[in-house]
This record gives sequence, structure tokens and C-alpha cells, in this order.
Amino acid sequence: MSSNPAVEGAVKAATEVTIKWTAEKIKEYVVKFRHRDVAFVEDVATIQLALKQRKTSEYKIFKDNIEDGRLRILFQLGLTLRGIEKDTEKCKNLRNTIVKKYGTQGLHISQFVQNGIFAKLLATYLEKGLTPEQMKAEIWNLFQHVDQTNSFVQAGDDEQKVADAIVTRIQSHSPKTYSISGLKSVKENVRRIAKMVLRRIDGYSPEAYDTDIRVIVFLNRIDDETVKKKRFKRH
Amino acid sequence: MVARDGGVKGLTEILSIRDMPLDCKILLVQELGYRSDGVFVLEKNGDRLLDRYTKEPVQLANMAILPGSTVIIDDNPLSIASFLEEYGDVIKPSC
Repeated sequence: MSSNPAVEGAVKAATEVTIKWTAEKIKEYVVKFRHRDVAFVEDVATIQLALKQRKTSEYKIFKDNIEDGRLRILFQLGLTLRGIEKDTEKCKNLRNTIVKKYGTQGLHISQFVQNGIFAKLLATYLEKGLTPEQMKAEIWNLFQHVDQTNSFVQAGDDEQKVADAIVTRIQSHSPKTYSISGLKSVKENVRRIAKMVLRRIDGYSPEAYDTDIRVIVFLNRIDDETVKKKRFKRH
Repeated sequence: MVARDGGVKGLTEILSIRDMPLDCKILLVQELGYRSDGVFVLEKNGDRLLDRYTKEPVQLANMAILPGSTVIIDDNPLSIASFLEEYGDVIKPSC
């Protein structure tokens, strides 16, 4: 046993609480740490969830296509938000941490992933038979314009204002797809907002995905000549 | 292959220190070349160690000590995700 008072204090305290942690045990584990045989964490669940997410096809497809470290972190945090979304408090804390570090735009990128919008759009890209290069370009473009092509409805949002903003964005950019999504208590609000928008724009058809926890309404641009002419006339 | 600790060789055991006594946590960070005032992890010069990703002081109650080059960070999901992005999959869970 060491004669170092700090060590003896530690051993004493350890013995009082548990016999597992002694000065010798700590030194033994530090040697293991230096050989990369062990990592110390407060909350094992957090790191296990992160490691599990990095093994998913959704993450690997994104990682293979996007080299930007910031986007990869925000993507992973989106998967984390999805993994903890039943824990309102944990979700709120993580959303705040994301906003503090990456701003509202960063949060929207994570929410885009959390709500499964990327996964759904990926399926449409695969159906189109894009080449790997086209797929890479589409994914990059998608994440560069998250704020222009998606709305994440929150409790307390003014539905009319959200609908107005969506109409303005659609009329300005004519995106191929615009998504409106929300969780739990705002699911009905999302549906109402989508209806309000559809009443005011031409050339888009809705496609809704509804689960117990979330709803996503995609507004898909209809690319036929009649609609194009109508849209041209209106401008 | 089986390592000395019974784990699988090449994999990293993730050890929870949630129930580790405070004095033991202090000893642990000292063994790794840091200090502590009993709440925060301190640099050798006495400055509070800042999480390299969030720039917030790291507390003994929320620290993660990860391999690479003895990285002590806050164990929030953003810092963990950032660590994994920076260092790659250096942690391969054995559990």
C-alpha cells in the first residue's frame, strides 16, 4: 500500500463505500487504460448508444458520402435525439447543447435526421437509380439546404406564421420536396399546417408518414407540363 | 483471444465510474497527470480543464476518460460524438 496520504484517503473512502476501488485497483486500471483496454465513463448508456449508431447502415451511408466532420457529428446527434426521444428532459438538454455549439441551423440538421427524413429521401434516391456520384451530390445538396426545405413544428408555434413561411420558401425555391414534421403533441398541428400550405400553392402533392411518435408530411413537386405552365403564369 | 482481464483482446472495456467514490476519482485523474479541487478536473497548472468540444469545465461527476491521448471530456452526447468523429472507432465495446 502506498504511503501517499491522498492515496490512503482514497483507499479509506473506497473501502467504506465499496471494496472494489482501492489505490492498487486504480493503478491497475490506469495501466489497462494506457494499453487502451479500458475507458472510464460516468454514463455507459451514452457511449454505447453512440457506438451502436455508428454501426447503423443509415450512418454508414451518410459517412461514406459526406466527409464534413461537422455534418457527421450533427448527423450522429440526430440519431441520438431519435434514440432518447422518449426522455423529454434528456432531449431538451441535448437540443440546447446543439444550439449552443452549432446554432439553430445545426439543430435543424439533427432534427432532419432524428425525424427520419434523410432515411425516407434516401429510399427515393435509390429508386431513381442514381449513380454513386449523383447520390453524393444529392445528399450534399440536401444537407446544405435543410433550412430551405424543411420545417420542424414545435409546441406553441403560430400555425399561420409557419404556413406563411413555408409558402414563401416554396414559391421562392420550388424545391423538389418540402417536409413538415413534428413529434407527439404537435402531430395534428403539422397536418393542419400542411393543409393550409396546400390550399395556397400549385403543383405539389402531399405524402404523409405517421407513427405513434411523429408525423412527416412531404410536399412533392409534380413535374408535369400543365403545372409548370400554371406556375409560370402565376409569376 | 482472451486478455488478462478476461475481456477479448483488442476490445476496450467501458467502465462505469458513476459509483466510484470521489476520493478515488481524484486519485484516478492524478494518476493520469491531472488534478482536482474536488468538483472540477484541473490542468497541471491549476486551471480548470475545459471540454475540448463544448469548452465547458469538466466536472468529476460528468467526466469521460477516453483512450487516444488521455482525453478527459464531459460525457454529454455531443462531446462523445465529437470524440468519436475526431479519433475514429478507438473504442470497441466488449460489453
